[in-house]
Amino acid sequence: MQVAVEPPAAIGVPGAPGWRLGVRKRPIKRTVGYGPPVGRPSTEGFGPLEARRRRRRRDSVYAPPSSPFPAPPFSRPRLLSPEPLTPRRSVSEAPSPGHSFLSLSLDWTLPMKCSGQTMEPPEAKRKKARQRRGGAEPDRLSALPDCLLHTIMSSLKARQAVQTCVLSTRWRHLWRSVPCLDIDLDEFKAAPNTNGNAGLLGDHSDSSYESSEEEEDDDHHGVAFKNKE
Amino acid sequence: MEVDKGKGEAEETRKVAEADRDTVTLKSSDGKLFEVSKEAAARLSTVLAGMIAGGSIDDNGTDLKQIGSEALENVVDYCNKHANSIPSAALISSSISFNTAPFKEPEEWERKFVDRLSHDALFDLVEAANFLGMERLLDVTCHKISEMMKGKSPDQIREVFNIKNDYTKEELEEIRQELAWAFYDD
Repeated sequence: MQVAVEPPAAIGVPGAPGWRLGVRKRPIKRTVGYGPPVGRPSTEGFGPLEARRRRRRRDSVYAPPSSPFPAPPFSRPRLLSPEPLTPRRSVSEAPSPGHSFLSLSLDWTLPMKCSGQTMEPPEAKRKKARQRRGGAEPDRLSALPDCLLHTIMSSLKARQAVQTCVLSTRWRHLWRSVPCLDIDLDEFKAAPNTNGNAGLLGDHSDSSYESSEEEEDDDHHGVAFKNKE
Repeated sequence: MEVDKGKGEAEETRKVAEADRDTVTLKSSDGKLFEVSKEAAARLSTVLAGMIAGGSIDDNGTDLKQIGSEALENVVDYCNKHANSIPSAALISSSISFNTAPFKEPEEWERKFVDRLSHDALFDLVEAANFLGMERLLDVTCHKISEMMKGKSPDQIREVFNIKNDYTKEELEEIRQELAWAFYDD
């Protein structure tokens, strides 16, 4: 969490560099001086020192500081020698049948062939996809649009609809927007009040849990209030 | 002059016959043709109703590229069966507001209709019904899916629907603590 750092008093004077149009420049975004901007690790930053450090890091590719021996002075020019170019010369010649270049071009024709075919029915397409994945059945349920999943969840009991959030990340927040809930008070009657976190309707467990709509509303406020504390 | 008049008449009768044709031909993604009564199609599917009203129905088969032949066969089957059963008033009014209208329990034949479907066919049918805007069929199939989920633990649901758990252990623990009131018994 970012703690707001009050700028020094000098910046607080209107007209000083910290002020623009009479409004204080966001003090939270900037620590005192030319520190790193918010969100970056503090070791990195800008300024001449950092630029020098970066230059050193870039140059050290050829002479890593961890290596006990300095890099040979010819290491860079040698990269420019014609040696690495030799394989390229063979490309201009006719490729032999077993040449890797040929097999590469064969691979590339594959997607072309698929796109040239007429559209496959979705069932066949799915079956093929399944075979590629090694026989694992696809997750058809999570692939449905949110509104359909909401319809499905609406017929579940409220607690089970909420429990679907642990199925996978796709389901995490779906229950929050389900249009209608099937709330069974008996379900929540059994809920214990764990560490001060009141059950949804758990407060009414012994006395008047046959509450009217109005009372239920009050209860929700109560939960919200408790959570704020 | 006489001949011309005869021609015009013939054309007119042909047009009338076309308009009066009481079936719609639908073509699945793999080119199979299915016929369904115009009345049932217009009543059950908002998309087909719009197409019929807008005159974009092709006599040689209206292309439905999103729907495979198996799913379309089920859709047509459902339309035909529905045409035979007596539609209730509640059914027609339920199409007005999809999400808020109280769900009417599936009738016996609808239950049988979805029960005989395989797992994949059921989801194909859901997708087809969603594409065609067939709200009643969508309700019935979604109800079937939720029945498959009912009373099962998250682990069991994952197994039935092949849902891959992509949470980390820490995330799962966090959710369970946050929603402790929903997970008190496990």
